[in-house]
Amino acid sequence: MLFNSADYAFFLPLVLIIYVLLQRGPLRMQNLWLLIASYVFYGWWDWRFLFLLFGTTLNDYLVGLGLVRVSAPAQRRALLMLSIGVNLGVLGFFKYYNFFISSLIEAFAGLGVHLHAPTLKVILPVGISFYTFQALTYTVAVYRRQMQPTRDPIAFFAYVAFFPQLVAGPIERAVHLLPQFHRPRTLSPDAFGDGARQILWGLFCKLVVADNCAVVVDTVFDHSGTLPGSVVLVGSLVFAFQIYSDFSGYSHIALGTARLFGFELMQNFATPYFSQSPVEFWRRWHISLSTWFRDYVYIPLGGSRASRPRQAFNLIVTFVLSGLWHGANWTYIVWGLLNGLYVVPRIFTGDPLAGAVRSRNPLVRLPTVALRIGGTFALILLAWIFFRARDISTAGHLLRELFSRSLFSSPAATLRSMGVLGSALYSGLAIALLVIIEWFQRDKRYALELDSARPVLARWPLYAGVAAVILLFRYTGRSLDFIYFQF
Amino acid sequence: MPQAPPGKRSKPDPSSWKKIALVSAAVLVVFIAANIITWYSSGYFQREASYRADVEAVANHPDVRTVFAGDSHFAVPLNDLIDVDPHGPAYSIAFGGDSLRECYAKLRRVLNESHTIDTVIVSADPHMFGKGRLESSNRSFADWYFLLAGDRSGLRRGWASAVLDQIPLLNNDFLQYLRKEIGAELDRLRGRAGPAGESDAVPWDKLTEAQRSAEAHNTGAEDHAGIGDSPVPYYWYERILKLARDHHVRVIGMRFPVHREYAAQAPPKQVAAIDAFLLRNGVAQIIDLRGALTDPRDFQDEDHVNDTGVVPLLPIVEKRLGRPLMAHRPEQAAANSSASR
Repeated sequence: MLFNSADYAFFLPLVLIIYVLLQRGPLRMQNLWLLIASYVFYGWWDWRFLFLLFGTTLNDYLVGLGLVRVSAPAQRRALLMLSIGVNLGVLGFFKYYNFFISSLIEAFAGLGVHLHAPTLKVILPVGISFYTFQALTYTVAVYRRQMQPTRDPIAFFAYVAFFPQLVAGPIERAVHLLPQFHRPRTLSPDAFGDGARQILWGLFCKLVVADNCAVVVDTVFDHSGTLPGSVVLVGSLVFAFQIYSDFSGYSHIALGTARLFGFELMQNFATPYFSQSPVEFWRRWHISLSTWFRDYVYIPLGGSRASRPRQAFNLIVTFVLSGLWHGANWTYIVWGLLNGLYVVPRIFTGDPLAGAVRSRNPLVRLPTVALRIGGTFALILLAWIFFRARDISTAGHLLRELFSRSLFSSPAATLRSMGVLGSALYSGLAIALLVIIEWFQRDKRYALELDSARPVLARWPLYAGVAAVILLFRYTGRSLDFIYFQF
Repeated sequence: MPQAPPGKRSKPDPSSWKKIALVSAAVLVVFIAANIITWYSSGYFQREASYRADVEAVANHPDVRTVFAGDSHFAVPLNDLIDVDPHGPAYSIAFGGDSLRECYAKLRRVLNESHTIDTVIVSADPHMFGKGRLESSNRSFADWYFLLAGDRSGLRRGWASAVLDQIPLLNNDFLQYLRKEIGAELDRLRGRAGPAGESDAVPWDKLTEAQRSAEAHNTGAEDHAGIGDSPVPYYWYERILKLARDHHVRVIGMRFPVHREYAAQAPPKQVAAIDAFLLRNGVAQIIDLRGALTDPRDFQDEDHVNDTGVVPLLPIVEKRLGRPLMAHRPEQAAANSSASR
């Protein structure tokens, strides 16, 4: 079930009403209800994968119990390895098996050896990358003795399958989210109002910005012929905001929904396109994943306690793995590598413009900040081309066009001939609205988080305006031909 | 990797359950009012009302034995002629833009409501099997009938989406229509287009034959693109035939007159394949009248017979069917119909 689907519009109020009615009963009943609702939510897509979700969760639950029963380090380590092996094994099989097999075949073919290894028709279970990583934080935390294992299977199963963040995060830490299943949740009107506003903002990001941008992006990136650099630039720019609005919109809806139920999830995006360096960008983009890789890959590799070359190596490995996490394709690996290369220089140079950014003279500070934001965005934009392109050669082709003289041609004629000029303008307006609102609210968790110091006349028109924009300017699917209305 | 900075937490907008309830009620009232205004003021929903009224009105025709289902090829010449007579033996639920899915949904409703019907005439036009009819602009109108019948199989995006589509401001098709209307209005204001319908100002019979042929060629090529490529139209025709069998009703496939250049754009092989499919699956007879009229004065455009053309057409149809379609003679009915407009 998707957050922006009609099914969810019925599902959420129903689940919430029953949840509130269960407030007077034991906590276990509320958790059980959340568990049932979460399994329905997940099974709506394909019920067969519920067994996979159940199986991996049961494994982690039992490993958690086992970790307190055994004290020998080797046995504890073996149990942890079992949890890691099962979670990553399932993830590896469903997500990477065909990729590794076909890459292996290609590599050997390059050496003149022709392998015959079978590829499988595997459906990638929705959210598997998220819930396996989230489940792992539990066994690792218990192993590190950062938390006691839970003996309440309902709470644990509900924690892994919690529907607001099951399929696309934020990837929560067990130490943060699991305890919330163990204590009574208070449903406060403040949290309810706050959650509703965050959902509203998430819907704006998803339905108005991301979905409208998708029309332009799909047309440009799926185009088989050569495109002028200016059109590649437009497509890349729009994609940058499509992916941001899509993912941050989903996260906002997840956080807002969780808040309706009295849960607090971690912030996942913090206006990343206003970052002044790639390092800062990665502090603000998909925060739950970035910090996951920091805690479970980068730091165990030695983190920043090692020599500078070793730190650089650790960063590159972490970013490449992060790229691979996004998908089984070389384009994601290159995307990860590129982002790793963006942040590595900082290890050796520090922040050479830090003084200018702190300058009291606005004539020094403002251009520096603008330059840094623009430069960071340009670097991230280049990397997005690899992320979105079908394959490496297509990405290379698009980049060649981007850096050709055709970059300075007008994109209008080509976009018109592709039938997306109107959609591009429409997307541009949606992006502009998003950027303006987020700029003014950039220090908040989400753009509609307005404090009570602001007058009602400033707050309510904004809420109503955003709601009206969603109603009137949301993406409505493939355009229908209404020519027959004349009859 | 760097530490993530959570956004600054400001003091939230203070709420109370009472305030939330009041605000929710106010939002609901405004939303309902906006929907009611939209329903009554928009051409889209006026069309939907007319669409449903056409179907429901069959209940006021107790003598109906024959029902026509199809798109504008039937609707333009027939509806104003045969639907106005409450004692007529035939009725048309055809509507411009309908695909076979919409035909099925409406026929099921009509056959469940009226028990005098023994024959349904369904469009067998080749363009009904083309890619242009895989999605109909009337799709959400027909969703209503699937919801009424409790039949999820015809709902493209599930029942929840179909239910929400019944709310005007949540209906995606309406929003597309509204945007196109606004766009057209803006174009008119900027002088890029004349008033609505100006492009159709030259009557069909006043064009030269070369102009008619060229126009018919273009429209025909567009309408007949992708005939037979998708199994969807065949699926709906099969359902119509099963529905008819369940109600002990015979199905006749029919094609109304069109310009020869328009008809020529449907590959004969594909048309033969459609005919074979229909006859194999239980269509009693296919009446192909595409070449039955040739005088341009009988046409509104390349593929629609007009009020004049229907006068000679109707006896042909009655003769082929072996039954009357009107209680009065067509000339008289056409005159009545024109007078009533």
